[in-house]
Amino acid sequence: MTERPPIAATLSQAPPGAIATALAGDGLWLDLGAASVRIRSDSGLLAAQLLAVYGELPLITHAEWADTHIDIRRGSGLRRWLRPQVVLWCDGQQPFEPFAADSPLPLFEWGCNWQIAHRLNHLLMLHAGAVERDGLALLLPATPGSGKSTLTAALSQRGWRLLSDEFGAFDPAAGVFRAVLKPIALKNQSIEVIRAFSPLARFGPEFPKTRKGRVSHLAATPDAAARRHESARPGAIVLPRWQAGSRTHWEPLAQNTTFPALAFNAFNYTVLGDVGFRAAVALTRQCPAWQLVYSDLDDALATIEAAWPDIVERQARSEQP
Amino acid sequence: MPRFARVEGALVEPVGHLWAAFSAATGETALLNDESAAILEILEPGPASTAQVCAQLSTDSGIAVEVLLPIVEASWANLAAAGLVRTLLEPATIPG
Amino acid sequence: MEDQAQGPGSKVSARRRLIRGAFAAPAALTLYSGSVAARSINNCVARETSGMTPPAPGPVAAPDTFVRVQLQKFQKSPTASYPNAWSRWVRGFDVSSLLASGQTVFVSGTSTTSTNWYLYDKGSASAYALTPIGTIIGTTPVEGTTVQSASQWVALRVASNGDIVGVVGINSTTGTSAVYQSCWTSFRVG
Repeated sequence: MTERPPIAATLSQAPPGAIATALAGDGLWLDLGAASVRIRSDSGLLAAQLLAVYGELPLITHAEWADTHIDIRRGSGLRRWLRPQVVLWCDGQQPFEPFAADSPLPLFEWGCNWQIAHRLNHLLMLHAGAVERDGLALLLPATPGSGKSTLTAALSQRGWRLLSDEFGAFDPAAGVFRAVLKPIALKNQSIEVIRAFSPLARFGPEFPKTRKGRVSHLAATPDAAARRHESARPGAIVLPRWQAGSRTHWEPLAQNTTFPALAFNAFNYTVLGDVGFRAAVALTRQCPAWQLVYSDLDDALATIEAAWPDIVERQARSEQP
Repeated sequence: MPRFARVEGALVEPVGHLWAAFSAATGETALLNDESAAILEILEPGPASTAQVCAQLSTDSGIAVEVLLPIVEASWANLAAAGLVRTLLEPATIPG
Repeated sequence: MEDQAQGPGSKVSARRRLIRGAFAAPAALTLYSGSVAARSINNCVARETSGMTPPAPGPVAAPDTFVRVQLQKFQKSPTASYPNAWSRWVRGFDVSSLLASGQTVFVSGTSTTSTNWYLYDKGSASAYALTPIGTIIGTTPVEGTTVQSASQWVALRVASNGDIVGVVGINSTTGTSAVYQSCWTSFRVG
């Protein structure tokens, strides 16, 4: 059974210093929907950065459960003062290289994604963006650089409820997708694209010096945060590919193309064995799939929007007894 | 004459005009054409020799057994590498 | 897209799909080899994580493993002063029952015995509110006599030689503890 923490004020409503106090003490729990994370930190910067991108989540300073426990600690020894660093600890291990001390948020975000991808093994964790509308999930499986996060971000700002920009978290037992609601990490020019696309979108601070270039995190909307425990039935699959200067191209995919796109893009397909196989087959059969090649974001969204009513109708027909 | 058996726990499911197959033994996933999937289907009730498999395929396809024999014989290694079939060793016979 | 219309429950026969008069070479294209995919996913995530070095996938030299142990929740009968007092523990018996014959397990420097209890979570308004996590007691916890399995599990870290070694605590530089709240992997049942 999923344990729900008691209802509390959101991070954005918390009294000044409450987040920092929690991080410095027993921890801050983030209820992401299908996963919960407990964070502790002695970084003086992390509280404000978390507030900027998780502001709509409830402030939880104690819960009975966390799927992963993460500590973001300032570097020790000389690294506390000389080109200071922050380090991520989990289960007594330091799995990743340190980040600059002014960048605890990207370290937490990427490290947390890693932990979630490898631990939530009661779900098939597809590497995909996932949004919901009309109770149905639109899945965007893709390799890095395909424009998945930009497209997911744009959809999330146009009335599609964000489930995750990183995880298509499919529950094989219930046959539904679940939210793992984290801010969307946008890089380089994607930041400006989404700012222009949605001027009211809420971003966290920009980190200019990561190895991937500039990174900034787009916060989930209040609606997505409030509904993060609502599941979504499988709807459709779109494999996006951003290609500079291209016209929008919308091509249906055969199941023998869709199936490997799902299986190959699952973090824990191997771990789940036949459960993962059966889930990937079921999703392949249940969801119509297309490849979307695009360069214009508005046009890409319009293409998806145009196809959606038929998808809703098709799924409604298939669910009738 | 060797016989061939479907590996326990092998799953074969249609995906479009091909078939997805999962080997519980190796954890591998493969895409099969109709011919490979048909062979696995013939082996589902129990092990069979190449000749026995070809006899059934001949009925399904209308192709003569002698034409099918070398084709099927050549396919066992591929299916074994995918973790979907295994060769049953014949028991040794004691002369005399 | 007739192949997209296939329902989840229909049973299709490959033999019936064979075309009369034709028989192609049986083909099996391995899509997914577990170890290869694990490396590729790791590389994928590594690229996403901006050059962060991920843990090595697959077997490494003398890897540790995790085994699941169920948490035991003790609940005090409600009183006016303590309407909801509870704490959660790892039972020594559950740990020792995992040991191979002849193995010795040390938890916080104390040999594991069946009668020990290891504090995992101080809980709510509990008699152990001031007791450090990882404390070992030799008696049944006082919250109550009823043991409720919490339907929650934690992972014991087991070294390659079979010793339960736990993890190094965040705030300690020496020693190991099998029970340290911030260091447990946790996952749910059901």
